[in-house]
Amino acid sequence: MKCKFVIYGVLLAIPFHTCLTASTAAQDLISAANFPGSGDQTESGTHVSLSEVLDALGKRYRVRFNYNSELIRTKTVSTGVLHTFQDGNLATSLKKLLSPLHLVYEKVGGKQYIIRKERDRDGSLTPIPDIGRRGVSTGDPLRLLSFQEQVVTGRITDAGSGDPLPGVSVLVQGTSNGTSSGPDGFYRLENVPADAILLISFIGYREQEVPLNGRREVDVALEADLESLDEVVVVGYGTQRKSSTTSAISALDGEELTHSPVANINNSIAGRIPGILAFQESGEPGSDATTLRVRGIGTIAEGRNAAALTVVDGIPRDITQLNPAEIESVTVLKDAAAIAPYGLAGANGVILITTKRGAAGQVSVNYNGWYGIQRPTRFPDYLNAYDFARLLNAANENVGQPPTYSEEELQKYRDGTDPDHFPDHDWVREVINFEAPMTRHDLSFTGGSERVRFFSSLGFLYQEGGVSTINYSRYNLASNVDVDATPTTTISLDIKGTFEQKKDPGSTSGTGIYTVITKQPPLLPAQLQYSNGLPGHELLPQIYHSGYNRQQENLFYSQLSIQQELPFLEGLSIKGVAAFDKAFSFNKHWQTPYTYYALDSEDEFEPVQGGVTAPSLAEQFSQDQVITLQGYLTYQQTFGKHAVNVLGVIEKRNGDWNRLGASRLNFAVDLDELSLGSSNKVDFDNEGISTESKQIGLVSRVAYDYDGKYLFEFSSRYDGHYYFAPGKRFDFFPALSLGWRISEEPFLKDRYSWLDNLKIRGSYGKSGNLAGSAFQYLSSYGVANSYVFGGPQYYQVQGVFERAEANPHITWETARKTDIGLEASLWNGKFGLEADVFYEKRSDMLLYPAETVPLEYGIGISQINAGIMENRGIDLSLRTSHRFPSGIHLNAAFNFTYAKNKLIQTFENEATFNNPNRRRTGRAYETRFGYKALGYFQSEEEIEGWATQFGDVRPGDIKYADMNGDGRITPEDEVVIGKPLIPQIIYGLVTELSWKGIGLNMLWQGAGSSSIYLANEAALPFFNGAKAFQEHLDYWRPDNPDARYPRVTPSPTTNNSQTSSFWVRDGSYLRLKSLELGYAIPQKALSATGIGSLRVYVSGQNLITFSAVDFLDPELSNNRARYYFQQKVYSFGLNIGF
Amino acid sequence: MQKIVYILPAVFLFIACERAIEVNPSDQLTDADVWRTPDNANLFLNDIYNSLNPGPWPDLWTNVPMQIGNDPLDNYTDNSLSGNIAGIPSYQLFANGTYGPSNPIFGPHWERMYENIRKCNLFLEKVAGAGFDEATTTSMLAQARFLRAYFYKSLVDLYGGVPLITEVLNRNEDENIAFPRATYEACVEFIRDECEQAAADLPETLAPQDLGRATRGAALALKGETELYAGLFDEAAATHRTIMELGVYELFPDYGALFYPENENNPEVIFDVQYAPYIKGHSRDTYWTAPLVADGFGWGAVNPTQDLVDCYEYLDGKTADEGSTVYDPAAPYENRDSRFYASIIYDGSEWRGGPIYTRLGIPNNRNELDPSGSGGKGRTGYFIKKMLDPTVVPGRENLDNQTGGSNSIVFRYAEVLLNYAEAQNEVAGPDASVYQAMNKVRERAGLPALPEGLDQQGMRERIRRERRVELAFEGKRLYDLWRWRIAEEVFNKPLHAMKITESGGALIYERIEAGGSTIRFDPSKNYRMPIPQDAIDQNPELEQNPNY
Repeated sequence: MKCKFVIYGVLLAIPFHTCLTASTAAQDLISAANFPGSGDQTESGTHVSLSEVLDALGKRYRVRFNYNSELIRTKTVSTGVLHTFQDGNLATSLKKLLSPLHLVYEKVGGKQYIIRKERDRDGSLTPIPDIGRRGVSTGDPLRLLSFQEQVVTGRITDAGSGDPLPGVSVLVQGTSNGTSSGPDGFYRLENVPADAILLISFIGYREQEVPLNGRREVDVALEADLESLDEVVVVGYGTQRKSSTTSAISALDGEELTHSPVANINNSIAGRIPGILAFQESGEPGSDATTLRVRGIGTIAEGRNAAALTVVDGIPRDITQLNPAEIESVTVLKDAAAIAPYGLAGANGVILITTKRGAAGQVSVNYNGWYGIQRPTRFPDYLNAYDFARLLNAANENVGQPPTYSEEELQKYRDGTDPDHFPDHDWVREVINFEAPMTRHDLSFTGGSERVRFFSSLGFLYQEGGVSTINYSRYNLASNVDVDATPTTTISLDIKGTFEQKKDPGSTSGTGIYTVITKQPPLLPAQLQYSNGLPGHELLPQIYHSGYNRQQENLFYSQLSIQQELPFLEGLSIKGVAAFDKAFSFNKHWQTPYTYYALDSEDEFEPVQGGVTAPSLAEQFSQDQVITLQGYLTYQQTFGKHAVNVLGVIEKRNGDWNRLGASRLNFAVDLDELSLGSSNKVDFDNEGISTESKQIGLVSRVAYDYDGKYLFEFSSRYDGHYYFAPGKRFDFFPALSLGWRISEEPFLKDRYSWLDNLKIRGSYGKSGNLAGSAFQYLSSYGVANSYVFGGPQYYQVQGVFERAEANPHITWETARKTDIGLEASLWNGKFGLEADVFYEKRSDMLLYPAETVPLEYGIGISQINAGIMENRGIDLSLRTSHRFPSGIHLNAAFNFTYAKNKLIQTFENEATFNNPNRRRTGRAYETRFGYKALGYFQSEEEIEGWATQFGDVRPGDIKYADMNGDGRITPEDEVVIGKPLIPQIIYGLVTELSWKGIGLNMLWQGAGSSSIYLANEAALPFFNGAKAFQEHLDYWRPDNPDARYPRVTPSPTTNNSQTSSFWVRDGSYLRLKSLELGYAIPQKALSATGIGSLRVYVSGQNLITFSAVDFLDPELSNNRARYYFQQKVYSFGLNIGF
Repeated sequence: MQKIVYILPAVFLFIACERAIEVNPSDQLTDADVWRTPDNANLFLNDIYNSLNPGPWPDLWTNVPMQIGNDPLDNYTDNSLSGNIAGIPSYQLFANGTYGPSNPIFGPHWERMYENIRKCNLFLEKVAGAGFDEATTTSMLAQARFLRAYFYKSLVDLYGGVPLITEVLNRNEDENIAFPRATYEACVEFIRDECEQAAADLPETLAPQDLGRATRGAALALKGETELYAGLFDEAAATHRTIMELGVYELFPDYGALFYPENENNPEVIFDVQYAPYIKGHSRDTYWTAPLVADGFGWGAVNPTQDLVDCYEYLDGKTADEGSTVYDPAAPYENRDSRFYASIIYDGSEWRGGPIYTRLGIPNNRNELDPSGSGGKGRTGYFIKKMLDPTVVPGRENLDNQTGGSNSIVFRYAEVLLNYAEAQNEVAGPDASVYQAMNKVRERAGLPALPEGLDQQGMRERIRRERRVELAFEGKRLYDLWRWRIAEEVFNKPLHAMKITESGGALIYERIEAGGSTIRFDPSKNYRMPIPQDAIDQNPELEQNPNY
């Protein structure tokens, strides 16, 4: 059987709707002004069926009721109740109607109501609605009597997660004998015949029929209905039914994000949604957000201008500080049709986040918390002092220099008897905490009455870095209230506050620490720490005794919205939203001198001062304020088989940002307050600056569908932005999309019952992207601090300088996107498929027309809108769900994204353009160029007979291809040696296995078609005296001609350090990105405790990785491997519900 | 139809709304504002001064001008070697002889100088037409002329003739914005003329608050050095004589202290680039200081060679090779020219409150000699002392502030004297005025006067040695080697280090080859730097220097 929502409301204008088989008496009743009681006409005497009543109410109030048809199929209502209805007050009427039936309703969106079972406080048993037994047919009474009736109990869980499902309807087939499950998923049903069949149904899950066969205890695992056709999805400035969307959008349930023990939601999104390419560049607390690129790289713009627009609850906002526990859903808008409402901000894709809201019912409380430890995913196996010294000696020998270390010294490094003079430090493990703690605690409350609903949550996160002085903490508070002020008016107030703090040491940073520990050889006299504990290098005092650098950020998001249905036209409503967002950030950077020790020539420990000469303090405060005003007009109506849906929004955003900073040097006292610093004015400094921004836009969307089969949508935005010159500020961004639900055609619908849904859709449209900076159209002078005149009594003067040439024609980037998609669902949602092919042409990208003016021109010439790039690819997702006879339930979803761009027009100089090997045009952006390595020179003769390379070349050095045959290796010989860093392929496989309360959730995520490059320390040993890896021991020798590394030298040679294919590595990887294994404690064990539900779990992030370079993380963002390494996390958690 | 219904009102709405998104930038000035008053226009001039640079800009590494960076110009000569650090251009490109148009040593210099030249051109054009009073206008124009000539000279020194652009180019109006290179001679002529004009209008001395601005002496020194470098000895001698006759300049008594911040703008200084700690500071003290000093650390970026050290005479006015009688092989650093002690840190010399040892055999010593330089140690057994500010603690900069504030002297009176001596010797032989100028410089160094009766060649050699020692590390040696055409002899052979070992309580001094110190020099092309390929690619009129 199929669980589906039946939506009747929209059908009100269809005169001969075949579905309406029931009598129209109820409609008449309700339609009549005074609800005259004439129940005689109904088949069931003084009762009418609930579905009829709802149907009639729907028409009257022009709303839709969504419900499980099974839930109300047998329900009836006394006509007496109808008499008590008051005209014009739907809420009251519904309450009167539903309460006796133990049903509740919930208003979702403006005109949608969901009707479901009431949740009980203690839960397991709901009194059987006796109206059923008295009223409607309860089946053959003889049959009822023919078997002994019994009590049946059991538990209903989610087959995927194993989580208990409350509120699930359990009904004895053919009767109205039913109940719903309690908060822990348990139910109890009395008077059930031993041969009865139980009907288990719940919104969003597939209904099950379970024959009792005499059993008294029946546990049921419900499978999520993966293809909920009438699932509502969030789209730009509204919601749509999934079945009628014609644009490419992917959604992710917020629940899924909670399976990853990470601080930043970006890190849990990667790999879970088709259409997103992801790259996590750092593991540093507070700055480890994965870069998300919707459908890859479509522009050469950088930073913010290359990122997707992020929208939280309808307002463009930053998402990185959000608490994952607050998130209801994440939606990615990918094609032109989906992003058109965002105009010039949408071309890089849009990520919409909807946060959780309250639902009517008892207040429920949920606590979730976990504690974990973190350590670097991967780092090279560095040589110890003895091996390092031996390798250096070998390197010296190679270049004809005496060994650096004598045999006695080597011996001392080996036996470690004199660690103060012959140290051997494992800098990584001695400095970095491999059990760095991380923890999160979330508490949420939700509940309310039919008219007032609320959701509140409180979150805390603490993430310690590899050293305790680097840490990140975040507090999130969110609260929202929805009030149905009148049956046609909804008022919502949302407030979110975030406080986050990132702490660093005063004189170093995460990257600084990693730079030192991955570079310092194990044996330098300036060693990490002497045997008596004194630091011998400044690293440890820098970490622990150099003051602090504290960055605090307070975020405040608030919005008030009022939605009003308009009485004069059916289906018309208006909404006003005012959002006020404010961010305060405050940095305090306190630096103090620190001490470390050097052994002097008498072997005495001599203190060495490091860092600042006297304490200094710098403070910086900035505030960013954005006010967004939105006015919505929506119209939804159905005329026969024609349904229209119209949206118009006017939006205005004004932003103000300012910054104020001050500092003092030379503190006499160790008190970190500005006013207590030096009172010499020379030690003072201050700064302040502000900017302003404005944008205005008009969004419209017209959707039309015929009979749910032929879908049409036109959406657009007329947008204006202050960046540009007057007259150049506005543009129109339209998109058109079409869809055809082939599965609704009679020739398929009736013949192939296994085909739930088959839809083809396509879209084409234009959108924009801001690039560059404001005021590039203006010719003007900048102001800066400048020269110092006046000798020792110097004073600094100001200077003004000519800014880059203006371009009054400057404008935004224009994207033209085409998308063709296919959506299918088979066998009751057992398999789901969604696939898209896309093509985008981005034009007007800002470029410097480099070849047109000589360098002698003397001023930065203006950028022009000339760059063209195309980007094409596919994204797809496959879903399946299966329940094995053993009771194991499997849900799996696979997603795959491929995006490859190509520069169609860029300005490069003739030297590269005219050489097909070097030409950037026509290749992917940031393709890697360099020399083509041909292995090693094996003999002097080979070198003699080859092109001139770089410096002193010997056998064992890298040999490069002389592409132009001129006998010299010059930049003219460069060729493509690798792909860009950001992968062109990202895929993910989410699998959920559950069995009797045990749930296993795994995300395998992979990337392909990218190259990483190894340079400097990451390439050759002894770069500026740096460390060497175990791998480096496999170097070229006459007896090792196929070594992994070239001949070893005391410092990398110029020849071997050239950018070449030798150092390019495949960037593909596959990793177990997250894993969670959970167990829900059986209700029986909890029943005495008062706890509704209790689940324990262990989880992890980045647990296993496969990649070509096995000694570095494949998401290597810095080709020298000098950055805060990505982290792996092991955690343990607990989830309690009351 | 539906579309029109939407768009029409929208268009009307937004025409009205254009103003609603009007934002004026809060941090920019208009053209009219800047040239309204002399005070405002002077802000533009300040920015040109701020573009002044001592020495050319290197391509790699720290990307600050050579003479305050970590690879100063003397590392490209026989005077000093850089440490062995990857990416250091003197070590990686210059010594290997691998620099060329595509991997130039001074990549950004070309573009930056032309940016500065444009600023000067714009300033000259705008101020000339601004209608300020005459005295103000004259002074402003003269300063800009001097600065423009200075920027041109820094190009001409490296590349020979360069395009001479004297007006503000506008690609929308000018027919031609691609200029070919003018000849070297034409450029020299241009610089001379400009300096001549500037000198006529510039003051001889400055009010205290204006110290750092161009003076008549500065313009003449720029002119004189240009003439000397161009081999115009007659003109050079005359120009330098004019400076000497100004009577404004004299030698500062203490050679070492002449570079210290407390003696900034002393009577020896003719023109310098001004710095101030924190406000407009530099990191030279950290870059150049020996790896480990008592209260901080340096990068040891400048390792003076034994070859330079050998040029410092003993107190009897002779070098060891010339048979100095006060030279003791067991104590080679005693009885030297006082400039030696002011310029070089050698084994056992005191610096920053402790001795610096470069000898081998002392445990835990990061300053010791390592000819390969691979351990971050010194490559020659010497470190630089000259031009380092003894009050700056190296390696301890904070809040992104650069703590070095000592000015970088471009022209000083000692150079004028030496330039005069050289030019006059070339014109008239070693006459009394040549001796006088030379002996003035030697006298301050504590050296006896030059022996009487030197012939022109003998004097030429003494002048060259005096110049090498007096102006060591000031960025003049490379140009000297080039213009004297002796680079091919000086290079292409190893430079030397001093290895000091202890044996039975006595120190043994051994002159050894410094590792990797042979500079490859190709006389067919290396007497000029290659013009960066970018510049060639973007201007088809530009011709590359020969053989690159």
